Amino acid sequence: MASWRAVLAVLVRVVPAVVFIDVIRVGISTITELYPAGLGTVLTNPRLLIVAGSGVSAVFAVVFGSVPAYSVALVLLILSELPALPVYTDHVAISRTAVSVPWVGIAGIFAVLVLDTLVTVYRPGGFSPSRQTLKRVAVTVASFLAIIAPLTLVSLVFATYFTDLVGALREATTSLARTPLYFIAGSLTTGVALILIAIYALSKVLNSSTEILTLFLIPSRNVSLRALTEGEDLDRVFSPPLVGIVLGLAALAFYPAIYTLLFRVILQPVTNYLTSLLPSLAVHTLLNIASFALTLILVRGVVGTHVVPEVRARTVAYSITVLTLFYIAAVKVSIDGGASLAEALLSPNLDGVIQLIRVTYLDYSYYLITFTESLLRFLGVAP
Amino acid sequence: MMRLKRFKLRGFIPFLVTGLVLLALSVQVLLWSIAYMERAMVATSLMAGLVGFSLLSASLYILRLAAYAYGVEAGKPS
Repeated sequence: MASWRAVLAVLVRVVPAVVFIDVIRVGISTITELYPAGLGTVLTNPRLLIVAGSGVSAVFAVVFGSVPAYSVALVLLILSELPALPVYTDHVAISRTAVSVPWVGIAGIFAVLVLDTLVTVYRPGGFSPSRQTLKRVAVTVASFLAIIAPLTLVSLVFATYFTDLVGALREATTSLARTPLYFIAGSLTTGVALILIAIYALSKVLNSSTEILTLFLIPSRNVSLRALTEGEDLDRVFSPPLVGIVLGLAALAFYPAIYTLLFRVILQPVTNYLTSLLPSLAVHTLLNIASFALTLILVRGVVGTHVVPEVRARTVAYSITVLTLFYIAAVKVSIDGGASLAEALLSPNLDGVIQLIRVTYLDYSYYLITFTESLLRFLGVAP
Repeated sequence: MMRLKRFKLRGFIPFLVTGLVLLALSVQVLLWSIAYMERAMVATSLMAGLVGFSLLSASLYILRLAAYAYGVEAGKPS
């Protein structure tokens, strides 16, 4: 009987190979479409890169007999077939008329799932055939369908929602032709990012819906009690959404000031010494990153990420730290301006520090605009 | 005793109703997000989408609690 186990282990590695049929078909059709434009266009086309990624994932699925790798290969194949991924040849998009759906791979996933379940639960000699009445079989099939049908409906509703939303976004931005927003809305990167977000959200929703539907159809005290007592995802602490973005923006707004105070005034000798040792670009990048990290810590301490604001000793300490930095910097500026230590401590040159910070802000906004522009170019958004 | 049992069997209903109300609200707000987008109000639409998905997540969480409560009340210990 142990030979059955070996047969299953072989089958679970052989059956995922059916996805290769689709990978090869889509790959060949992409290459034949692109080949007239030259070999360079073929090799750098995003569509072909996605197909290649799907092929790599399919190899993993065959070698390890893994269902996740198979699903990733299938999802990548479907992504490569999207109309949102035009075939670019020399800045001209060839409109794709026929979209081929990887039917073989989609049909294969059922076989792969059944085999995977069998491999997981099968023990030699642990099974014996049992006779069931037709009614029981019918009830089993019906309850399976009762779970599958709403989930398919949820997926379809999701797909419709995202298609409508993205379609309306495209429509809304066509009036803004040749402006950055138009390119952002129409770009490949945005499309892929939106699809990935949609898939992630859908997987979350499907996961919960399956659990809810199954428990309502087949209530089980043990499963519910275990989920209620051990389920870690039930014990959730509410965190306000988009806190990371808010903190990052706040830190971006304040870090030039911190950078000036620390590295252009107070620690100026250290900065000069480092610049004499290393390339100045590397030093400045490092110091910028360091001051950004420091500002992030300060902002987190002052703003706080809790729903209910709370007064903490840290908040006071951080505010006093920033004020002290400012004072020390002002004292140093007036000492550099020729004042004695006592004079400098009593009347620090605040205007001088503010002037320096202002210069940094101007430089910094110039760099920020340049950086954003090159980032948009890199992502294929800007012309 | 019988009355207590019947009362206990209904413990999941408040969760179920709250979850379904939130689900309906989230569907409404998500539909609004498409409508806003069609009127070229991009930021409003994205904000509505965020609100809608937050509501959807909340409703699924509460519905899951309802399912667990129903499972504990109606399920047989196996």
